Amino acid sequence: METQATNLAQHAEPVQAFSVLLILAVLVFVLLMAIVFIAAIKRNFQHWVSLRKQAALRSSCPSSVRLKAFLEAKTPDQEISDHVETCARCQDRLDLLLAAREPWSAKALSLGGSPMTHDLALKRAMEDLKADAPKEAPQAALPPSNGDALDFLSPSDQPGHLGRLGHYEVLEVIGRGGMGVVLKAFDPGLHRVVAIKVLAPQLATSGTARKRFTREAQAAAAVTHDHVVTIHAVSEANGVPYLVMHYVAGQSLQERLDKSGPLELKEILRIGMQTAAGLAAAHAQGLVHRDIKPANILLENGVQRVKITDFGLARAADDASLTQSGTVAGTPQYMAPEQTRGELVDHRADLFSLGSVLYAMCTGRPPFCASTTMAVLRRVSDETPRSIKELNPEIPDWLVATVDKLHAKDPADRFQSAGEVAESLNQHLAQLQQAAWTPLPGGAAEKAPRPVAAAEAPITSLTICPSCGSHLHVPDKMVGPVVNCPQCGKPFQVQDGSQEIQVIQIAPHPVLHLAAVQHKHPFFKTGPIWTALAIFFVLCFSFLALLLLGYLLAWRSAQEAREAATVVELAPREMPAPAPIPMPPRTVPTTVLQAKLDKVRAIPDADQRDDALFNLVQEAVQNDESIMKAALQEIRNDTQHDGAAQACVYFLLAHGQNTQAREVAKEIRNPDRREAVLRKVKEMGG
Amino acid sequence: MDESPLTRPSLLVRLRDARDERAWSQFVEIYAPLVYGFARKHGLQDADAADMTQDVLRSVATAAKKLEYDPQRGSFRGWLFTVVRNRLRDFWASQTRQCQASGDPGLNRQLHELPAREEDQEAIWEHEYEQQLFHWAAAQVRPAFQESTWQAFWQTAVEGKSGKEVAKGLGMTVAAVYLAKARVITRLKEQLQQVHDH
Repeated sequence: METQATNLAQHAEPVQAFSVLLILAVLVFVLLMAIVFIAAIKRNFQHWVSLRKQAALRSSCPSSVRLKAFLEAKTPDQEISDHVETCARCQDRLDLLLAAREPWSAKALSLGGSPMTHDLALKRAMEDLKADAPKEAPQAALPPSNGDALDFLSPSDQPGHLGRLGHYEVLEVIGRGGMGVVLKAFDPGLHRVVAIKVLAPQLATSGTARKRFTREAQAAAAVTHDHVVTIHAVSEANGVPYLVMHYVAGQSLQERLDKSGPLELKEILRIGMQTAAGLAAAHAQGLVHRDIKPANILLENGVQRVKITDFGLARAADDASLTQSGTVAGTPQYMAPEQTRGELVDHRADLFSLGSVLYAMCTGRPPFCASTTMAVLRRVSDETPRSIKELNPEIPDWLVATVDKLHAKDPADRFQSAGEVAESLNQHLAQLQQAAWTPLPGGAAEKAPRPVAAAEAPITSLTICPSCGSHLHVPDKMVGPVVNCPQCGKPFQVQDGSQEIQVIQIAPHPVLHLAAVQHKHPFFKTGPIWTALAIFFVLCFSFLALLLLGYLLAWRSAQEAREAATVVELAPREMPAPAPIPMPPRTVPTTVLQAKLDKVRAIPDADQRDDALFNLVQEAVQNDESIMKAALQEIRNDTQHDGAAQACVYFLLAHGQNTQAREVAKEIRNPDRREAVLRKVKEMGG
Repeated sequence: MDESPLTRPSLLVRLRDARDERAWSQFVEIYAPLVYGFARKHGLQDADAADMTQDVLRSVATAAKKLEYDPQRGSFRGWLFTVVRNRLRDFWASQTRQCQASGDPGLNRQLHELPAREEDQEAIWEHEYEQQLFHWAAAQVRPAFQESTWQAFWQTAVEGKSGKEVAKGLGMTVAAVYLAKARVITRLKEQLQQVHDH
């Protein structure tokens, strides 16, 4: 009994401790959840309150038109002024309105200040520059605007054409120079595109210039060569002389140099050789170009062919400008020294200029550079240019020597004919092409025209995220619903953005497109905070449920343990219960019968003992079978006393146990008594 | 950006008119720091950069006056970029040669590595042009405004502060800050339209 009690105590103690812990844990969790819940509610409430406030303010917000007028008015509207003071929404609207007006992009502001303005060297350079504005007298006389330059054209009946000159339909202006305008025109008679050079009107007023223009052009028309631009006609219309030439689709060498700088050696030789050949043909006709420069050397598209243009025209211009201002016209950088001094000029002046062109192709810059025309003229006349090798070490010595020879100040020291130069360059070109020829790198490839600064796509409507200030592009149909800002993820209501601002070109913040955001019903807020809260609550509840379940299980097992303990205590009293035999209610206790059996066994006289045993069997049959069996065994062992056995047979027969009765009867030793008892058993049906 | 390019002659057109002296000084004020800064960023010493700036601006202005520059073919600053780039290339060519002569392989390599990719350079150029133009216009316009007006603009537009914040800092009403900003922007816009190169 003692061990059972301790057992019970051992079960009960941990169960109790566990329950206390569980209750504590549950309490702590409930407390935490309550705090979180209250915090969330409070936050939501604040949001709601601010929304209400905003809504209240919004009802009094001025319209976009009024807001715009407010910004432009001389005397500000006091009502709007007061409203703006407190209304965050209107402040955002003003930000947007003003951002749309800023003519600069955000990156222009990315630096605190212009860092270079305090640099001393720059300051000095700027002062020098300001003090010394470059003055180009003859050019300054040109009309400043282009509008009236085409006055000499007759109106054209073709739509899209600029006008008509003679019988030519003028298509477009392809260039302007000191000499005048170059037009692209269509010759309807011969069905071809031509280039027309018109003598500048102020030059055309000079009779000498006009005469010379016509005469030189006629002379140039006599030159027909692959590398000289063919002149189709010289004519005059509306008092303006013009020249009709073959139209060369391509760029000038000057443009090429501007774009890609120094050329490849092979290109230098090819262009130099073809130019020299063209010059040789003209010189053979007694014609001096007088203004060989990269701008007058045309590079035809597609075919590798060079064409010289503007033969002899420089002279006409010279006449005109000299009479007007006494200075030299055009670019003097490629002139020969004898030209700059106004001396007599022959074909060898063109060779000097050819040398300058070669120099420019080798180095990317003209040989004689200076900030003013007069300085250039002085340099051409007196100085030797910087060595080509110094500027471009890749140029071979023989080419440097060729240019140097062409650059001799005295014409007698130069090559004596263009043909010689062409021949020399041609030989080297052939050598170069025969030598192990490697493909040219992409450097010579023409660069595509520079794209205009990328135009920002017009944005039709914008709104500002109230949380992070991002500028958002809002499709019109989206106005109204609550969306999440793609930048910061916070939800906000899209306002009437479509009417706010029509076009914003540059916004200080990145403009984000809201199109991808799905419409959401305002009731279901789906911001990340809400999602996190929901997940947290679900986790809390499931944790709590698990805790409760665990507690219930623990309680169950504790209960079972207690029940088990009670069973252990009760078990010993009930265990001796024998297999239940249907018996009449007990009248004599088993222990009393046992004591009687013991007494009976102690009787010394056999007959008395037999009788006592028989009585005990009778009593035991009614009370306790085990005692009866013990008594019967006692009777059988006593083989000398058949009376007891006979009594037992009768007793068994009376109780219907016939088989057992016959067995006992067979053991009776006296044969007569045995026969009589067996007969009695037979009669009783055993 | 400029809304009325036809009614307002650009700086370059004005430059062609010899009587417009202001055009030349504006031209120098805007483009000299641009060219100078670009040259310095490409490693030129201050004296070299100043020389190059003078040289480039004079030759470019002369060419612009002679109508050799055709606005149809691209922006003036794009053209100027080409000119500056070529000058820089020339400069590097001569420097590289000198380095080869002096036998300093490290410096030589450094010089070769300096020029970035062309598109990058052009993007840097555009960026600096925009900055320079803005700061030039700001410097021109600033004296015309009271300091508080200017600060209201500068702090909201450039420093990116909110109107409310700036109003608090300057002791103005929020509305006054926005009005100041609007006035300065309008004035700056006019200033930029005078000189903007399309």
